[in-house]
Amino acid sequence: MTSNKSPTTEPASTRRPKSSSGAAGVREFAAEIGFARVAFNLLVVLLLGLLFWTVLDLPPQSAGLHAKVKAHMHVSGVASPITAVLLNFRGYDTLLEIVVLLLASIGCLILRDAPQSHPALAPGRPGKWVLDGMIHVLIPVMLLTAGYLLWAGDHAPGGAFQAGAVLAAAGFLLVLGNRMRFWRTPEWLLRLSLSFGMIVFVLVASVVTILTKNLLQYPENYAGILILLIEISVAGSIGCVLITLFAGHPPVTRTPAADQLWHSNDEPKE
Amino acid sequence: MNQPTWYALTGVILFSMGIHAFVIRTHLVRRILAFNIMGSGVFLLLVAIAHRIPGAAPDPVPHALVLTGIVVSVSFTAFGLVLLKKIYAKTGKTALIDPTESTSDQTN
Repeated sequence: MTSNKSPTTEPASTRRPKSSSGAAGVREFAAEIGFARVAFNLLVVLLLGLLFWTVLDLPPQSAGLHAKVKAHMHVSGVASPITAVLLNFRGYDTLLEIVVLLLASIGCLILRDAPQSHPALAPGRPGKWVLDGMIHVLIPVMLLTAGYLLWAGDHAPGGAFQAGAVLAAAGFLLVLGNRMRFWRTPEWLLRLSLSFGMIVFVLVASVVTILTKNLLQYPENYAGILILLIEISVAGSIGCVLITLFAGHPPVTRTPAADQLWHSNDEPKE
Repeated sequence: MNQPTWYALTGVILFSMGIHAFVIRTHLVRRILAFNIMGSGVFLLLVAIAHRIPGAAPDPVPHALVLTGIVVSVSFTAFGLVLLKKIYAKTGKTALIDPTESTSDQTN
Protein backbone atom coordinates (compact mmCIF):
# COMPACT_ATOMS: atom_id res chain seq x y z
CA MET A 1 0.00 0.00 0.00
CA THR A 2 1.44 3.30 -1.08
CA SER A 3 -0.10 5.46 1.61
CA ASN A 4 1.90 3.99 4.48
CA LYS A 5 5.15 4.90 2.85
CA SER A 6 6.73 7.83 4.62
CA PRO A 7 6.98 10.87 2.37
CA THR A 8 10.38 11.37 0.81
CA THR A 9 10.26 15.15 0.84
CA GLU A 10 10.44 17.33 3.90
CA PRO A 11 7.14 18.66 5.27
CA ALA A 12 5.75 21.75 3.57
CA SER A 13 6.18 23.94 6.64
CA THR A 14 9.95 23.73 6.55
CA ARG A 15 10.21 24.52 2.86
CA ARG A 16 11.09 28.08 1.95
CA PRO A 17 11.20 29.94 -1.30
CA LYS A 18 14.58 29.22 -2.81
CA SER A 19 15.26 32.77 -3.88
CA SER A 20 18.85 33.68 -3.08
CA SER A 21 18.33 37.37 -2.39
CA GLY A 22 16.09 36.80 0.64
CA ALA A 23 12.79 38.56 1.39
CA ALA A 24 13.16 41.28 -1.23
CA GLY A 25 13.72 38.70 -3.94
CA VAL A 26 10.60 36.83 -2.86
CA ARG A 27 8.52 40.02 -3.01
CA GLU A 28 9.91 40.83 -6.44
CA PHE A 29 9.12 37.34 -7.66
CA ALA A 30 5.60 37.54 -6.24
CA ALA A 31 5.03 40.87 -7.97
CA GLU A 32 6.20 39.36 -11.21
CA ILE A 33 3.84 36.38 -10.82
CA GLY A 34 1.08 38.80 -9.80
CA PHE A 35 1.54 40.70 -13.05
CA ALA A 36 1.39 37.46 -15.04
CA ARG A 37 -1.80 36.61 -13.20
CA VAL A 38 -3.48 39.89 -13.96
CA ALA A 39 -2.47 39.57 -17.61
CA PHE A 40 -3.88 36.04 -17.73
CA ASN A 41 -7.15 37.11 -16.06
CA LEU A 42 -7.54 39.79 -18.72
CA LEU A 43 -6.85 37.20 -21.40
CA VAL A 44 -9.59 34.93 -20.02
CA VAL A 45 -12.05 37.83 -19.90
CA LEU A 46 -11.13 38.60 -23.49
CA LEU A 47 -11.71 34.96 -24.46
CA LEU A 48 -15.05 35.01 -22.64
CA GLY A 49 -16.11 38.11 -24.53
CA LEU A 50 -15.03 36.60 -27.84
CA LEU A 51 -16.95 33.39 -27.17
CA PHE A 52 -20.04 35.36 -26.08
CA TRP A 53 -19.88 37.31 -29.28
CA THR A 54 -19.51 34.10 -31.31
CA VAL A 55 -22.51 32.45 -29.63
CA LEU A 56 -24.70 35.54 -30.04
CA ASP A 57 -23.56 35.86 -33.65
CA LEU A 58 -24.78 32.36 -34.56
CA PRO A 59 -27.86 32.26 -36.79
CA PRO A 60 -30.78 32.14 -34.33
CA GLN A 61 -32.62 29.44 -36.25
CA SER A 62 -30.71 26.53 -37.67
CA ALA A 63 -31.60 22.87 -38.00
CA GLY A 64 -27.95 21.92 -38.49
CA LEU A 65 -27.56 18.47 -39.97
CA HIS A 66 -30.99 17.35 -38.80
CA ALA A 67 -32.53 17.30 -42.28
CA LYS A 68 -29.61 15.36 -43.71
CA VAL A 69 -29.83 12.74 -40.96
CA LYS A 70 -33.59 12.48 -41.38
CA ALA A 71 -33.22 11.93 -45.13
CA HIS A 72 -30.94 8.95 -44.55
CA MET A 73 -32.75 7.37 -41.60
CA HIS A 74 -34.29 4.65 -43.77
CA VAL A 75 -30.88 3.15 -44.56
CA SER A 76 -29.53 3.40 -41.01
CA GLY A 77 -31.18 0.25 -39.63
CA VAL A 78 -32.42 1.98 -36.47
CA ALA A 79 -35.20 4.44 -35.66
CA SER A 80 -33.40 6.76 -33.22
CA PRO A 81 -31.47 9.52 -35.00
CA ILE A 82 -28.81 9.72 -32.26
CA THR A 83 -28.12 5.99 -32.44
CA ALA A 84 -28.02 6.25 -36.23
CA VAL A 85 -25.37 8.98 -36.03
CA LEU A 86 -23.38 7.19 -33.32
CA LEU A 87 -23.21 3.74 -34.82
CA ASN A 88 -23.87 4.21 -38.50
CA PHE A 89 -23.24 7.67 -40.00
CA ARG A 90 -20.38 8.48 -37.63
CA GLY A 91 -19.50 4.92 -36.60
CA TYR A 92 -15.83 5.78 -37.07
CA ASP A 93 -15.96 8.17 -34.07
CA THR A 94 -17.52 5.53 -31.88
CA LEU A 95 -14.97 2.93 -32.93
CA LEU A 96 -12.14 5.28 -31.95
CA GLU A 97 -13.93 6.09 -28.71
CA ILE A 98 -13.94 2.41 -27.77
CA VAL A 99 -10.20 2.36 -28.46
CA VAL A 100 -9.72 5.39 -26.18
CA LEU A 101 -11.67 3.66 -23.41
CA LEU A 102 -9.55 0.56 -23.81
CA LEU A 103 -6.38 2.67 -23.65
CA ALA A 104 -7.54 4.37 -20.44
CA SER A 105 -8.23 1.02 -18.78
CA ILE A 106 -4.88 -0.37 -19.97
CA GLY A 107 -3.18 2.70 -18.53
CA CYS A 108 -4.87 2.15 -15.19
CA LEU A 109 -3.95 -1.52 -15.14
CA ILE A 110 -0.30 -0.78 -15.97
CA LEU A 111 -0.05 1.61 -13.03
CA ARG A 112 -1.87 -0.57 -10.52
CA ASP A 113 -0.36 -1.35 -7.16
CA ALA A 114 -0.14 -4.74 -5.50
CA PRO A 115 -3.48 -6.57 -5.48
CA GLN A 116 -5.67 -5.75 -2.53
CA SER A 117 -9.32 -5.70 -1.66
CA HIS A 118 -11.25 -2.46 -1.79
CA PRO A 119 -10.80 -0.84 1.62
CA ALA A 120 -13.80 1.45 1.32
CA LEU A 121 -16.07 -1.10 2.97
CA ALA A 122 -14.27 -3.71 4.97
CA PRO A 123 -16.36 -6.70 6.15
CA GLY A 124 -18.10 -6.07 9.44
CA ARG A 125 -18.13 -2.34 9.06
CA PRO A 126 -21.34 -0.66 10.29
CA GLY A 127 -23.75 0.02 7.49
CA LYS A 128 -22.85 -3.12 5.65
CA TRP A 129 -26.35 -4.52 6.16
CA VAL A 130 -27.84 -1.60 4.30
CA LEU A 131 -25.40 -2.17 1.46
CA ASP A 132 -26.13 -5.90 1.41
CA GLY A 133 -29.87 -5.27 1.31
CA MET A 134 -29.44 -2.70 -1.42
CA ILE A 135 -27.36 -5.08 -3.50
CA HIS A 136 -30.06 -7.74 -3.27
CA VAL A 137 -32.80 -5.32 -4.31
CA LEU A 138 -30.95 -3.17 -6.83
CA ILE A 139 -28.74 -5.51 -8.85
CA PRO A 140 -31.60 -7.32 -10.66
CA VAL A 141 -33.33 -3.99 -11.32
CA MET A 142 -30.11 -2.50 -12.65
CA LEU A 143 -29.49 -5.43 -14.98
CA LEU A 144 -33.07 -5.09 -16.24
CA THR A 145 -32.58 -1.34 -16.73
CA ALA A 146 -29.35 -1.92 -18.65
CA GLY A 147 -31.13 -4.41 -20.91
CA TYR A 148 -34.01 -1.99 -21.45
CA LEU A 149 -31.67 0.90 -22.31
CA LEU A 150 -29.85 -1.29 -24.80
CA TRP A 151 -33.12 -2.23 -26.45
CA ALA A 152 -34.53 1.30 -26.30
CA GLY A 153 -31.46 2.69 -28.10
CA ASP A 154 -33.00 1.49 -31.35
CA HIS A 155 -35.87 3.98 -31.29
CA ALA A 156 -35.48 6.31 -28.28
CA PRO A 157 -32.74 7.85 -26.13
CA GLY A 158 -30.62 4.99 -24.84
CA GLY A 159 -28.03 2.63 -26.24
CA ALA A 160 -24.71 1.01 -25.52
CA PHE A 161 -23.17 3.81 -23.45
CA GLN A 162 -26.11 4.30 -21.16
CA ALA A 163 -26.49 0.54 -20.70
CA GLY A 164 -22.76 0.20 -20.06
CA ALA A 165 -22.88 2.95 -17.43
CA VAL A 166 -25.73 1.20 -15.57
CA LEU A 167 -23.85 -2.11 -15.76
CA ALA A 168 -20.78 -0.37 -14.32
CA ALA A 169 -22.83 1.11 -11.47
CA ALA A 170 -24.06 -2.39 -10.63
CA GLY A 171 -20.43 -3.53 -10.70
CA PHE A 172 -19.38 -0.71 -8.32
CA LEU A 173 -22.02 -1.87 -5.82
CA LEU A 174 -20.76 -5.46 -6.09
CA VAL A 175 -17.15 -4.34 -5.57
CA LEU A 176 -18.06 -2.17 -2.57
CA GLY A 177 -20.09 -5.01 -1.07
CA ASN A 178 -17.18 -7.41 -1.53
CA ARG A 179 -19.29 -9.56 -3.85
CA MET A 180 -17.00 -9.07 -6.80
CA ARG A 181 -13.34 -9.81 -6.10
CA PHE A 182 -11.89 -7.70 -8.84
CA TRP A 183 -8.32 -8.77 -8.09
CA ARG A 184 -9.17 -12.43 -8.42
CA THR A 185 -10.42 -12.04 -11.98
CA PRO A 186 -8.23 -14.25 -14.18
CA GLU A 187 -5.99 -12.16 -16.42
CA TRP A 188 -7.32 -13.63 -19.67
CA LEU A 189 -10.93 -12.96 -18.64
CA LEU A 190 -10.12 -9.37 -17.73
CA ARG A 191 -8.35 -8.76 -21.03
CA LEU A 192 -11.11 -10.40 -23.04
CA SER A 193 -13.93 -8.50 -21.33
CA LEU A 194 -12.15 -5.16 -21.70
CA SER A 195 -11.41 -5.62 -25.39
CA PHE A 196 -14.45 -7.64 -26.46
CA GLY A 197 -16.41 -4.59 -27.64
CA MET A 198 -13.52 -3.32 -29.72
CA ILE A 199 -12.82 -6.77 -31.20
CA VAL A 200 -16.43 -7.20 -32.32
CA PHE A 201 -16.58 -3.63 -33.66
CA VAL A 202 -13.33 -4.03 -35.63
CA LEU A 203 -14.45 -7.42 -36.99
CA VAL A 204 -17.78 -6.00 -38.17
CA ALA A 205 -16.01 -2.94 -39.61
CA SER A 206 -13.50 -5.11 -41.52
CA VAL A 207 -16.16 -7.43 -42.91
CA VAL A 208 -18.49 -4.64 -44.09
CA THR A 209 -15.55 -2.70 -45.49
CA ILE A 210 -14.57 -5.70 -47.63
CA LEU A 211 -18.19 -6.30 -48.67
CA THR A 212 -19.23 -2.73 -49.50
CA LYS A 213 -15.78 -1.27 -50.37
CA ASN A 214 -16.50 1.62 -47.96
CA LEU A 215 -15.25 1.98 -44.40
CA LEU A 216 -18.03 1.12 -41.94
CA GLN A 217 -20.82 1.22 -44.49
CA TYR A 218 -23.24 -1.47 -43.44
CA PRO A 219 -25.24 -3.37 -46.07
CA GLU A 220 -28.73 -1.87 -45.87
CA ASN A 221 -30.56 -5.07 -44.97
CA TYR A 222 -28.16 -6.06 -42.20
CA ALA A 223 -27.57 -2.63 -40.66
CA GLY A 224 -30.06 -3.15 -37.82
CA ILE A 225 -28.73 -6.53 -36.70
CA LEU A 226 -25.08 -5.44 -37.03
CA ILE A 227 -25.71 -2.33 -34.93
CA LEU A 228 -27.44 -4.47 -32.29
CA LEU A 229 -24.49 -6.89 -32.25
CA ILE A 230 -22.02 -4.02 -31.81
CA GLU A 231 -24.17 -2.34 -29.15
CA ILE A 232 -24.46 -5.47 -27.01
CA SER A 233 -20.73 -6.20 -27.04
CA VAL A 234 -19.75 -2.55 -26.60
CA ALA A 235 -22.15 -2.11 -23.65
CA GLY A 236 -20.55 -5.08 -21.90
CA SER A 237 -17.04 -3.79 -22.53
CA ILE A 238 -17.87 -0.24 -21.40
CA GLY A 239 -19.24 -1.68 -18.16
CA CYS A 240 -16.03 -3.68 -17.66
CA VAL A 241 -13.78 -0.70 -18.49
CA LEU A 242 -15.58 1.55 -16.00
CA ILE A 243 -15.43 -1.14 -13.28
CA THR A 244 -11.69 -1.53 -13.97
CA LEU A 245 -11.15 2.23 -13.69
CA PHE A 246 -13.02 2.20 -10.37
CA ALA A 247 -11.77 -0.99 -8.75
CA GLY A 248 -8.31 -1.13 -10.28
CA HIS A 249 -7.14 1.67 -8.01
CA PRO A 250 -8.62 1.55 -4.52
CA PRO A 251 -8.50 4.89 -2.69
CA VAL A 252 -5.51 5.76 -0.55
CA THR A 253 -6.09 5.04 3.12
CA ARG A 254 -6.09 8.33 5.01
CA THR A 255 -3.53 9.04 7.70
CA PRO A 256 -2.97 12.42 9.42
CA ALA A 257 0.50 12.72 7.87
CA ALA A 258 -0.80 11.97 4.38
CA ASP A 259 -3.63 14.48 4.86
CA GLN A 260 -1.24 17.22 5.86
CA LEU A 261 0.98 16.55 2.88
CA TRP A 262 -2.00 16.34 0.56
CA HIS A 263 -3.20 19.80 1.55
CA SER A 264 0.26 21.32 1.54
CA ASN A 265 -0.37 22.66 -1.94
CA ASP A 266 -3.58 24.33 -0.86
CA GLU A 267 -2.17 26.76 1.65
CA PRO A 268 1.46 27.60 0.98
CA LYS A 269 3.23 28.29 4.25
CA GLU A 270 5.18 31.47 4.63
CA MET B 1 -32.46 35.67 -26.56
CA ASN B 2 -34.18 32.34 -26.46
CA GLN B 3 -33.62 29.51 -24.01
CA PRO B 4 -30.90 27.62 -25.91
CA THR B 5 -28.87 30.83 -26.18
CA TRP B 6 -28.89 31.19 -22.39
CA TYR B 7 -27.67 27.61 -22.06
CA ALA B 8 -24.98 28.21 -24.66
CA LEU B 9 -23.75 31.32 -22.85
CA THR B 10 -23.69 29.40 -19.57
CA GLY B 11 -21.57 26.79 -21.33
CA VAL B 12 -19.17 29.50 -22.49
CA ILE B 13 -18.89 30.87 -18.93
CA LEU B 14 -18.19 27.37 -17.56
CA PHE B 15 -15.51 26.85 -20.20
CA SER B 16 -13.80 30.15 -19.36
CA MET B 17 -13.93 29.43 -15.62
CA GLY B 18 -12.43 26.03 -16.28
CA ILE B 19 -9.58 27.33 -18.43
CA HIS B 20 -8.82 30.01 -15.83
CA ALA B 21 -8.62 27.51 -12.98
CA PHE B 22 -6.68 25.06 -15.13
CA VAL B 23 -3.85 27.54 -15.60
CA ILE B 24 -3.92 29.38 -12.25
CA ARG B 25 -4.25 26.43 -9.85
CA THR B 26 -1.35 24.11 -9.27
CA HIS B 27 -2.96 21.32 -7.24
CA LEU B 28 -3.46 18.47 -9.71
CA VAL B 29 -6.90 17.52 -8.39
CA ARG B 30 -8.00 21.09 -9.05
CA ARG B 31 -6.54 20.89 -12.54
CA ILE B 32 -8.44 17.67 -13.26
CA LEU B 33 -11.63 19.25 -11.92
CA ALA B 34 -10.99 22.37 -14.01
CA PHE B 35 -10.55 20.24 -17.10
CA ASN B 36 -13.88 18.54 -16.39
CA ILE B 37 -15.60 21.90 -15.94
CA MET B 38 -14.19 23.03 -19.29
CA GLY B 39 -15.55 19.84 -20.84
CA SER B 40 -18.97 20.31 -19.25
CA GLY B 41 -19.09 23.82 -20.67
CA VAL B 42 -18.39 22.49 -24.16
CA PHE B 43 -21.03 19.77 -23.78
CA LEU B 44 -23.61 22.31 -22.61
CA LEU B 45 -22.77 24.57 -25.55
CA LEU B 46 -23.07 21.72 -28.07
CA VAL B 47 -26.37 20.47 -26.66
CA ALA B 48 -27.74 24.02 -26.62
CA ILE B 49 -26.79 24.97 -30.16
CA ALA B 50 -28.25 21.69 -31.43
CA HIS B 51 -31.68 22.93 -30.37
CA ARG B 52 -32.14 26.19 -32.22
CA ILE B 53 -35.58 25.66 -33.76
CA PRO B 54 -38.28 25.77 -31.09
CA GLY B 55 -40.53 22.73 -31.14
CA ALA B 56 -38.53 20.84 -33.76
CA ALA B 57 -36.38 17.81 -32.95
CA PRO B 58 -32.79 18.78 -32.10
CA ASP B 59 -29.86 18.14 -34.42
CA PRO B 60 -28.69 14.61 -33.51
CA VAL B 61 -25.07 15.07 -34.61
CA PRO B 62 -23.91 17.35 -31.74
CA HIS B 63 -25.84 15.12 -29.31
CA ALA B 64 -23.93 12.08 -30.52
CA LEU B 65 -20.67 14.05 -30.20
CA VAL B 66 -21.52 14.95 -26.60
CA LEU B 67 -22.35 11.34 -25.77
CA THR B 68 -18.95 10.29 -27.11
CA GLY B 69 -17.26 13.15 -25.28
CA ILE B 70 -18.79 12.29 -21.91
CA VAL B 71 -17.53 8.72 -22.03
CA VAL B 72 -14.04 9.83 -23.07
CA SER B 73 -13.88 12.51 -20.36
CA VAL B 74 -15.01 10.07 -17.66
CA SER B 75 -12.41 7.49 -18.61
CA PHE B 76 -9.59 10.01 -18.88
CA THR B 77 -10.54 11.68 -15.61
CA ALA B 78 -10.08 8.26 -14.04
CA PHE B 79 -6.74 7.81 -15.80
CA GLY B 80 -5.63 11.28 -14.68
CA LEU B 81 -6.50 10.46 -11.08
CA VAL B 82 -4.52 7.22 -11.32
CA LEU B 83 -1.51 9.15 -12.62
CA LEU B 84 -1.93 11.69 -9.82
CA LYS B 85 -2.02 8.88 -7.25
CA LYS B 86 1.20 7.54 -8.69
CA ILE B 87 2.89 10.98 -8.70
CA TYR B 88 1.82 11.45 -5.09
CA ALA B 89 3.13 8.03 -4.08
CA LYS B 90 6.49 8.56 -5.80
CA THR B 91 7.23 12.20 -4.99
CA GLY B 92 4.91 13.07 -2.10
CA LYS B 93 3.65 16.05 -4.10
CA THR B 94 0.24 16.92 -5.45
CA ALA B 95 1.49 19.47 -7.95
CA LEU B 96 4.00 19.41 -10.75
CA ILE B 97 5.66 22.58 -9.46
CA ASP B 98 6.44 23.41 -5.86
CA PRO B 99 3.86 26.03 -4.85
CA THR B 100 6.04 27.41 -2.04
CA GLU B 101 8.61 28.42 -4.64
CA SER B 102 6.23 30.53 -6.66
CA THR B 103 3.36 32.75 -5.57
CA SER B 104 3.02 34.04 -2.05
CA ASP B 105 -0.40 35.54 -2.78
CA GLN B 106 -1.90 32.22 -3.82
CA THR B 107 -5.39 31.83 -2.47
CA ASN B 108 -6.54 28.43 -3.67
